[in-house]
Amino acid sequence: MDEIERREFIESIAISGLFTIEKDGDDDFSDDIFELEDGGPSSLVVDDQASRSEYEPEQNRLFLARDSENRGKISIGDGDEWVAVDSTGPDGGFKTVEAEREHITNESQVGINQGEGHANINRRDPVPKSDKTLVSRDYRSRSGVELITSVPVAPDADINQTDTGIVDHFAWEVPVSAYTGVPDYGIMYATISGYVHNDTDGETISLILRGEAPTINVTFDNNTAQQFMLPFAELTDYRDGDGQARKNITFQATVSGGTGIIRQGATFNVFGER
Amino acid sequence: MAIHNIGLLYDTHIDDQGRKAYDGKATTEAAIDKLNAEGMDWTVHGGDIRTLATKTLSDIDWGGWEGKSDNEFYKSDFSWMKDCLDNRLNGPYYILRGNHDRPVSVLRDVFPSADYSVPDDNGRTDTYWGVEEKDGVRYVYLDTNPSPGYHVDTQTQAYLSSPQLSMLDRLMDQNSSMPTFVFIHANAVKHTELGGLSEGDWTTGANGNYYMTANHLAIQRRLERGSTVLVNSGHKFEDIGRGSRTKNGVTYVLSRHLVHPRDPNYDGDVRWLVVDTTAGTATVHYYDVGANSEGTITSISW
Repeated sequence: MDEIERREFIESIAISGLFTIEKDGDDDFSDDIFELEDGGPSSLVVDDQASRSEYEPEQNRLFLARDSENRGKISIGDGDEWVAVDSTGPDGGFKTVEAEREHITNESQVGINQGEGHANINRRDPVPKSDKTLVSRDYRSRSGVELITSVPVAPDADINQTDTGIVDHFAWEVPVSAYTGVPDYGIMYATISGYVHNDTDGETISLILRGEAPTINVTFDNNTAQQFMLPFAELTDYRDGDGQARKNITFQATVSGGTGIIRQGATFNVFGER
Repeated sequence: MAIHNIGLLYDTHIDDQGRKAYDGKATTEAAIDKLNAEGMDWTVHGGDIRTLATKTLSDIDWGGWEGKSDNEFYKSDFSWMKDCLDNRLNGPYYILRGNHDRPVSVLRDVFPSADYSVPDDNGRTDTYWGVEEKDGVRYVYLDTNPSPGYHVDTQTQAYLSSPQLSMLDRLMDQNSSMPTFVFIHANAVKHTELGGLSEGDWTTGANGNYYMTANHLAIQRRLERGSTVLVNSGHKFEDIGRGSRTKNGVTYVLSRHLVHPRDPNYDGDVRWLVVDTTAGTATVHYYDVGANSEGTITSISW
């Protein structure tokens, strides 16, 4: 009664999918929590299989089908087209490995039922429900903030300053649209977390989250790896009452000198409420 | 129109069971005596009523201290504070919730939100946040530790929930010109943005976000939509001085933490806010309990 299934995709695409599963046949994947491992996909799209062609099959981009017929089937972009990925799990989807009870973030807000070979989590509907893609601004969330998804930023990315004093910078376009179409979430936020440092005394590395939201710029002067989490940047805009998804957030890193290092395991995270 | 004298009693960190080298009691009593001497119309306890420490001084306990399951110790801390506020403090008071004020069930037992918090803009009284208007001025009370489930990366991470942000949006929709004052436990601005402070960037540590509200930029955007005058917070426990900073028209106030969790000899500030709704002025005063000195942190007009 209280299990959540952990389902693993084949190791060749280096991800594992940690699901909290809706009713069988439900096309709502909004409970999914993905743990994308090093070297895995750069972003995740969740939509109906029939809509797959509407998305650019960027290299290492992951597509997860949500319609009941194809639910759980995975494709991965190779730069030109979507390539279906086989799985060791049932129906070409995934297999059950183990229960992960601790990943229920707020158990008082969920009811758990055992389905036919699946663990189901049924959340109460948030109120009021909006007919928009996003819930209304006046939505009153049932549970607390939760992690919607997390993807790796740049494993072992080095950011160097050249001898001429020109600062090279690392920049990564955050695929916001992959996350903000998820219904039933209130305000959503992006943040970057991980370990960072500069290898040279007196030099700094700055992490910048830039886009339509206010720019976040945090500077680190430590020479050994230090854990960080940037302040939250809103991915939704409710100033006009209805939610609008922000787009085009870019994560950048610059150094004043020396080499800045974003350690392997740094992640782009999306948090939301419902 | 009128003058409002509002006591700002933040971070009392009461320890009624001898778990820490300090108990916060004498400092809190001295702070309350000062508020009484100045004459408050009402007082805001800005959170961290108690201390979440175990007998092992470096640890924080989220429940069941020493195996006790009846919340004896938590009740003791909250109850001491309530007795002090009821019998020593003159005038009414409201409770904000700080990250140390757990379990929330015990906080609710001792300080029911219906009795010790203002309703929200829909009249709900089941939370420790809300809004009230007096003499043409708006006072907003926000809860940066709103309920179980609202914790982001650590159990103590401050975060302002969507319903509260929506309330701010609605208030600014309804009247963006009304002078607005905000009371909040964790900071709604990076303290490096307060200016003139020597401390480094608080967001750079493992617990950097601990020192502020994780989504403080979302709060700022909404406060900037209206005529927000002053934001008073507490929470940051090292002594980083006093000051204020105006960012996009909103002034954020910093004072010294009243009871210091690390230095038993430290006594910091109790504040009070004087709002003259006729003259359109507001001043934040402080009384340094340890130094027995007082002064003004900031004055502002609108």
